Amino acid sequence: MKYALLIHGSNAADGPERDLDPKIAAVLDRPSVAGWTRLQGIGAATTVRRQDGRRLLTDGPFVESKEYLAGLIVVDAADLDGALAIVEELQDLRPNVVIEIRPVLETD
Amino acid sequence: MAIDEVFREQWGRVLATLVGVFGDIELAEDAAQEAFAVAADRWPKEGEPANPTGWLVATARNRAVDRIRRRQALTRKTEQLGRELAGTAGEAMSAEEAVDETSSLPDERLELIFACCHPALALDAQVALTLRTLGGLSTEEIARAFLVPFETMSKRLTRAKHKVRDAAIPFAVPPDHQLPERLDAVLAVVYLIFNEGWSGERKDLTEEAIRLGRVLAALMPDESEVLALLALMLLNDARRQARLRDGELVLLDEQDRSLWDERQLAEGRRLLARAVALRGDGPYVLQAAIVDLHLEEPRDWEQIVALYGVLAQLTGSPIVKMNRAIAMAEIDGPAAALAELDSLPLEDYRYFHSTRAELLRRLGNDRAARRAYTRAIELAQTDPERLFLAGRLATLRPSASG
Repeated sequence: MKYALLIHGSNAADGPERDLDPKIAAVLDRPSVAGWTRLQGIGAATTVRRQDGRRLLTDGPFVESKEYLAGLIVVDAADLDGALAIVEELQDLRPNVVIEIRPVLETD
Repeated sequence: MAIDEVFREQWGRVLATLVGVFGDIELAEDAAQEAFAVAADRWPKEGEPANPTGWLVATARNRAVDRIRRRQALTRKTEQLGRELAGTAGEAMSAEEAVDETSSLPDERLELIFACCHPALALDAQVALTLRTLGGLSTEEIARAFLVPFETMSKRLTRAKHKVRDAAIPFAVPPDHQLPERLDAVLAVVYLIFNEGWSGERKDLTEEAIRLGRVLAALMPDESEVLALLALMLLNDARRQARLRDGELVLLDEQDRSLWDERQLAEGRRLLARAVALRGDGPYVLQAAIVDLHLEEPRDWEQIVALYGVLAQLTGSPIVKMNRAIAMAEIDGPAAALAELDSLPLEDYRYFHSTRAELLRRLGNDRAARRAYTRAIELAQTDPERLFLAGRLATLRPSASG
């Protein structure tokens, strides 16, 4: 089963790095990692919503907070403990990130 | 054995097996309930089958397969399950036919309790789910026990069952390197159930916790903490009859020892001895040993203070430090104990104030003792506690200020 790992960093501590840390790259190279993406900082974010049928753009992220969504990793694991094992490895490398685990909705 | 008792004994076992097969607590529960209803109807007429567990599992499994077939949205899953089950259960196998096959069923209650007490579930959800699946308590009973509306408890249980299914919380005994941490969570849930019953005078909950403790001890006979938790509960619960007199709380020293349950005390002590022999030195072993020491007359206060010290270091709990201070009062006097007590961050803890009040009373400071008892009464949660504290308050010298 697939899990999305939503990686939340905090602005002050973990700004986006240009280069991918080779140790993290090694984790992302695992066969259990189905896909991943890193996001630019919230300074580059635009939030779009519809209001009274008109498009309304806001400069900035949907949720303004100290933490921001920094990246997304999709992993394939047998169960929640399998996903937790990968989260643990990532947090060994980046102790400050907070990771939300969301099972991927699969329709077959 | 009365049919209700048989069901209570069998429920956890049957449910665990079904969750193992279908991976869905909700489905397992519905199917088990149907099977138990069929049994309640047939057994009194036709007699109890030779292997009740096997009969119940086989009947429930057939019902679960029926349920899956009825759900059109899950057609593909049915085919897959049908294939999986074809080799073993067959399609229209009767319960009687299936009994031989299920007579050597593995007991999967451990897998179930580790799933129910997974840290990805909130603690109150862990507690409710454990009581429902392993204890066989109804949603209504659990709601009543925790003083929440039926709807709230029903939602909590449904949400927890769905999370187990949707997030694929593993139905497995954790690997060795995770076992201590995960076992702590399981024991914490059982002990919480016990304490909820103990402090709220809820015999149904303390009995249920002891029953769960016995199941765990039978399944993990070499885990010292598991044995010690059961010992701890038994040693405390053995004094239940003596703990109240005319609805008022009775302190240990003033309890009528002839009301203590000697058989339960002996069982608790045997379990504790076994836990110690297994070189157990975890928090439950220490707590059970401390309770055991408290039951001796005269009490070995030096030893009690020493064990509380070790436990305080292990857990860092201010409540343990408070208990250590109480024991210290017996050796170093109430003034030293009070100084220690006042350094603890327990302003909102009800027993903190009753403890302070007692020490102040012993020091002859009735005015401060009066204030502390009054605060303790404000925070008290049961009538026996309130009665006891009011009785103590009445023994103080009347103060000019009232």
